[in-house]
Amino acid sequence: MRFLALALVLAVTALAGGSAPASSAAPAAPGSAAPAVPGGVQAGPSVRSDTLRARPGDRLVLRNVAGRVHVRGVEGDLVRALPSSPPDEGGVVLSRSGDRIRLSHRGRGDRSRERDLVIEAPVWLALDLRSDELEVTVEGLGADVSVRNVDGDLEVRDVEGTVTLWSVDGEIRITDVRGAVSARSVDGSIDVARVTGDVEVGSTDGDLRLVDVDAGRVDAQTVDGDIGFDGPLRAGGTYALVTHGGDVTAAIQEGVGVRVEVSTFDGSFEAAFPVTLERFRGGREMSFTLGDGGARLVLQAFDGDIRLRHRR
Amino acid sequence: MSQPRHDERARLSEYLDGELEPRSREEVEAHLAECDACRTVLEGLADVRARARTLEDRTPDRDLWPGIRDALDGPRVIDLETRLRTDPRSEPGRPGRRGVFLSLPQLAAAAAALVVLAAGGAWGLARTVAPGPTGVVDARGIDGLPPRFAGYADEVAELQEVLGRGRDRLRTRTVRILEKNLMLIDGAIRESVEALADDPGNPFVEQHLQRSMDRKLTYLREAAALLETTD
Repeated sequence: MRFLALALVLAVTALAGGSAPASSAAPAAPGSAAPAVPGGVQAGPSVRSDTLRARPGDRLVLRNVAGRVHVRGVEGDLVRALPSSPPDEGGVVLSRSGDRIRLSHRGRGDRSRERDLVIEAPVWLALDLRSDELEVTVEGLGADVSVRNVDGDLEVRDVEGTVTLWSVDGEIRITDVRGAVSARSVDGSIDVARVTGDVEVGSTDGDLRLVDVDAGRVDAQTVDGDIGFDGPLRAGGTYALVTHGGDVTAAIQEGVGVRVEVSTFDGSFEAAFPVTLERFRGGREMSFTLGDGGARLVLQAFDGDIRLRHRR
Repeated sequence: MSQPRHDERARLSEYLDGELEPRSREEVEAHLAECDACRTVLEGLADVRARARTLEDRTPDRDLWPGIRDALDGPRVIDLETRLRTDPRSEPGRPGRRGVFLSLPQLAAAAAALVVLAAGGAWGLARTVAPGPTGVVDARGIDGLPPRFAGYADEVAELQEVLGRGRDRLRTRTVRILEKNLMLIDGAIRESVEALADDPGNPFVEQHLQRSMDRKLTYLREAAALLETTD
């Protein structure tokens, strides 16, 4: 029965155009009837994938992609692209241009048509993705990740490298990253958790939440959103949490040495533990030092409340 | 060997940047060898880019704000043929780097405009006034903004013109979001200015206003860069 099913699948695949021709630089056999793939996206029986061998120093450059893309780091040196929808189009082609590995769509379909796409990439392959309308998930890479997207949520997890994300309309979620993080969203919140590396996040209309961020420098700014920070402070580190129309809440470890600078124009300040003010201006600006004051914590909310407490 | 059609402007642009793979480069060169028009356009593009990159963001040596504020009371756009746009390949928020990205007909027009400008002995942006709604560019200047921010106004006006001209290339939803958030930033600036009027010299408010102005510039640069990626 299994042989019959396999034969049927092969026949359907052949009728649909057969397996994709190998790219010129791809010694590996291209995929054909793709199996179920990780990331919640299932490859259908009539889609065709492509495979290309990457070289050290290469970058995976994705443009003109719409829909959902899941990039997953794998061992080895092969890049494999697995489209799963829509099933009536000709699949994808991986090609090389210098050190750039590009993806294009085979067939007559609209290049900007939405698709689900899974890309398995060597863990050491850097990613450079730009799109207008895309939901992106990147996981398991040990290289730099850069995503610039107009509309769609972005998620990056388990990455070792510099992460740079930019979005107009979409939530950004970054977890388990070892490397510097820079993320900006015009209209959407940004969540950062379990990051070891400097963090710079900004939004115009969105909350910023940073949890278990171990950094020497944190810069979080939003216009109309709350900011929450819960992480260790390093001696010599600078941590700036700035909002215009939201609240700021910072949780710091007990006994840490930090100089705290608080500023608000039309808000309040509340500390969950006793502090001795060293500077006080009109009830709106104040500063104080905890321990040896080795770190610097800047808390600003123009029209919002500021709260300081210990980490739990 | 097939030759590129005249409307494949991306190939000429990538050729100029040395980004084409060998086969494509050979195709473009073969076409250029036989096509005077495309060769002229390529030369024009190279010239435009070279000149554009010599332009630096600078602070005016006199207070331009009053005049610009008055000008912003009416919608103005800049002529697309000679429009300089922020280089979308620059990193978000990275100021100063500029490039030119135009279609072939626009390149031809740009090349022609360059000749005219060169003949006149000057380099500048040809500005025109266009009627009609401008959406993103409708954000007006902020009354009471301290004169030291006059330098910002020049670039803000320029970028708003770019956005007004190119807004049709963005989806309605994107334009709506950009406008909404620009209003948020302008609201923050306005509140900072009012706070400064209530409490002159307040260092926090001064710093906050400075930060808000920086944010607006960065925001507009990034929004302008969107126009290129949505071509």
